[in-house]
Amino acid sequence: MQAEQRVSVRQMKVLLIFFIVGDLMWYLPSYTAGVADQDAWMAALLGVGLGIGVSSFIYWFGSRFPGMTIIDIHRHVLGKFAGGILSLLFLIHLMSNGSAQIRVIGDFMTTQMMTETPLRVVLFLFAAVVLISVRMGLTVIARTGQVFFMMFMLLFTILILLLIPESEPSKILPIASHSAADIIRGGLFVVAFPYCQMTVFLMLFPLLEEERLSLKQYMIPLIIGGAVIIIVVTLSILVLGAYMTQHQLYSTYTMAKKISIGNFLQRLEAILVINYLLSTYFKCVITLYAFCRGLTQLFGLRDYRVLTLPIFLFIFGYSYVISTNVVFFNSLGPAWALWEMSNVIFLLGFVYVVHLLKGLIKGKPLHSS
Amino acid sequence: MAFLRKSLHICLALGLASLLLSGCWNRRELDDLAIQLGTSIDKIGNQYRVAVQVVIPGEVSVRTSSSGISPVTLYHATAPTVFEAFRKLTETSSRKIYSAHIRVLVLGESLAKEGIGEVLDMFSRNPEARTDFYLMVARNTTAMQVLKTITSLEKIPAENLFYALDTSAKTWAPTTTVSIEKLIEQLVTEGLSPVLTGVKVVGNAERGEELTNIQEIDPAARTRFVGLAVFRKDKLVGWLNEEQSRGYNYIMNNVKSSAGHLKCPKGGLITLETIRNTTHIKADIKGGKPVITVKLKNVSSVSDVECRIDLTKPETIKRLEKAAEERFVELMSSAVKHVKETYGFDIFGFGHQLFQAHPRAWEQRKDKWDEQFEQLEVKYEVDVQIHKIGTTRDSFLNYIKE
Repeated sequence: MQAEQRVSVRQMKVLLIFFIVGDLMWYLPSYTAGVADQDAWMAALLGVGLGIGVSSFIYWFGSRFPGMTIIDIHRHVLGKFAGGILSLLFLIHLMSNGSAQIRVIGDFMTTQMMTETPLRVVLFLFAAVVLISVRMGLTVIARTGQVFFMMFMLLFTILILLLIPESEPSKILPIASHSAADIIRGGLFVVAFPYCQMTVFLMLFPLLEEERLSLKQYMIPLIIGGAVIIIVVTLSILVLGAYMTQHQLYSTYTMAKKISIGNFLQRLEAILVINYLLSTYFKCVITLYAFCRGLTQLFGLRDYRVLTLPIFLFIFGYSYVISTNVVFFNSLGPAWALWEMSNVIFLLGFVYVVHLLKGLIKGKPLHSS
Repeated sequence: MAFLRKSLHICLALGLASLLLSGCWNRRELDDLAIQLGTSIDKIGNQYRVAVQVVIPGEVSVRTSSSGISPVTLYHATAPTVFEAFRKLTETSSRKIYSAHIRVLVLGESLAKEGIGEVLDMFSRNPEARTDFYLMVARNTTAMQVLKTITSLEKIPAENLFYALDTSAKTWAPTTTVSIEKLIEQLVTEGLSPVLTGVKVVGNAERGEELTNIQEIDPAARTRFVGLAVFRKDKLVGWLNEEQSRGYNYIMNNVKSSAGHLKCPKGGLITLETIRNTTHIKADIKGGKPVITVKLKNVSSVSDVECRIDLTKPETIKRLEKAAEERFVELMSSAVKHVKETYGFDIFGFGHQLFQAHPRAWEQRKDKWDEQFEQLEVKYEVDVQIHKIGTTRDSFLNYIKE
């Protein structure tokens, strides 16, 4: 049954773009502007550059082990026990990411739009939608992605076009007044948040219909997603200025509120929020789908679908207890970024080094004989 | 068994469908809300007195004729914090105050002198309120008094204040609009102190509260915008008069359209209408010292000739342009001089311009910018162009028979 869930390269590209844009709209401008002020756009530019490098490494790592998911790779390289522990770490990371994404939506809805609605109601509904989608399988998710992709791009283009009249070029001045260290620190957030998280796709690459995704096909969504990141951060600085970008909880929402074309076309923020919700939804679905598949593989179950109901209840609860309040949740950012980066280093880098060493040890006697 | 399963499914589907019927979680019907249009905050001792002007829907609707009661009503409450005061309003109001449609926020002069920072946070934190309302400072009166004055052309006094300021800022140089986001940004920007437009009640303030006020053609009391309030950090320290406000707005590029007069060579006055105006401020470091250049580009037209002047000659236009340029320099430099001498801190954002152009030079100077500002060299480069003189050539004043 699982073997049927395959996606085409085209669908994979759409999923990649959705994943990269993902939940960055909620917090990335604030994080980058938090360290680099009006130079945040440089941080975003640098971060996207480095991030494409990191995700190329992820791709390259996956292509060393064709047809294998990261769970298989860990088992193959490190054996059942040590590999299992690494895989478990990876799965905990996926689960926390999925829950955090649901929590971001919950916090946003109860802060900006429905202030008197209990957080748990929003979390329950969003988690339910996500897990129902996960249960439907990757084919359905990918087709949904294709359906919504045009709308997503259209709304995003509208957002940019309508915000151009509101932007003030002088807000970006002075250029490069921050030290390189600050700009790199801002850039690392961009590297961590969409790009290091792309380890998730190591669960999905083996599900492609075609043999494999070529590097070129993989790069196009990375660049489109990167462009979206750079545009959003730059617009946020141009429209809101460094202070507002840092100090608004949801700066992209505040930015959308600014739209006013001739005092007629305004108050579009509720419509544009759909866009932010949509990309977060897809990111969350992809993450939790990978989580379910990974769990099934790790424990050798036959079908991941039996897990969706317990996982739904668990994710709902976890997203509620993950943080006691919105202040703590936002303060997690830097630590979370480090976690994402260390995942790439340990779960991929370390494993590949071990794989190489194993090859050397095994290879040596072969050469000498 | 199959029947049981089927009926269970139907029950489940119906149960889920009922979720759709419930509507919003915290919906509020229109007739449960009191729509707040104007707000005023005064400081009484250690507490804030918040007054809210609420519209009475029946009185402002177009179809039903007015029944002779006021179109708005005012609720006020006093509490230690602004938000508490807002909730305390329900002690007198029958409905919960809905703040999304707020148009103006009037701050009392005594509050402004003690600092406005504390009252502003609520307005940017509250998700309900929109941020496109204007702020103003009540001058020589309490903020509540401003909201009590009944107006006629706009039935709702808060709307009147909003549109009066909006129109005035677009067509008359001495006034300007400040929204809460702009004000907060000015408060946190280094090298820039904020200003707000002042509003006062002219005429008989007590009669202005009565409905008879608008039964007269010339109401006994009106609200009027007067000068700009100068803030040091978030505390009101003084006022600019009309000329200085005009100079300030020209420097800050706040002027869209305006009118100003010049003296004719042979006595009498001639009025120029500003059609377009753009000002750029440039900051440089020359000889180790910051130099500010204010570049003003202005397109005007002759709109009123009240003297004998020959408008058929191109030289006259040249002379007028020259005179207008001198007049702009005088306006702006006297505003800068006044601020330097009286207040001694930067309300023009010259420091901020320096930061944007030369961030490192600003770092060295920012701690003693007030002293630097007093010594600051400001240059003016004004370019006035007169393209049109209206529909007549020479004024008939030149041809009035002896």
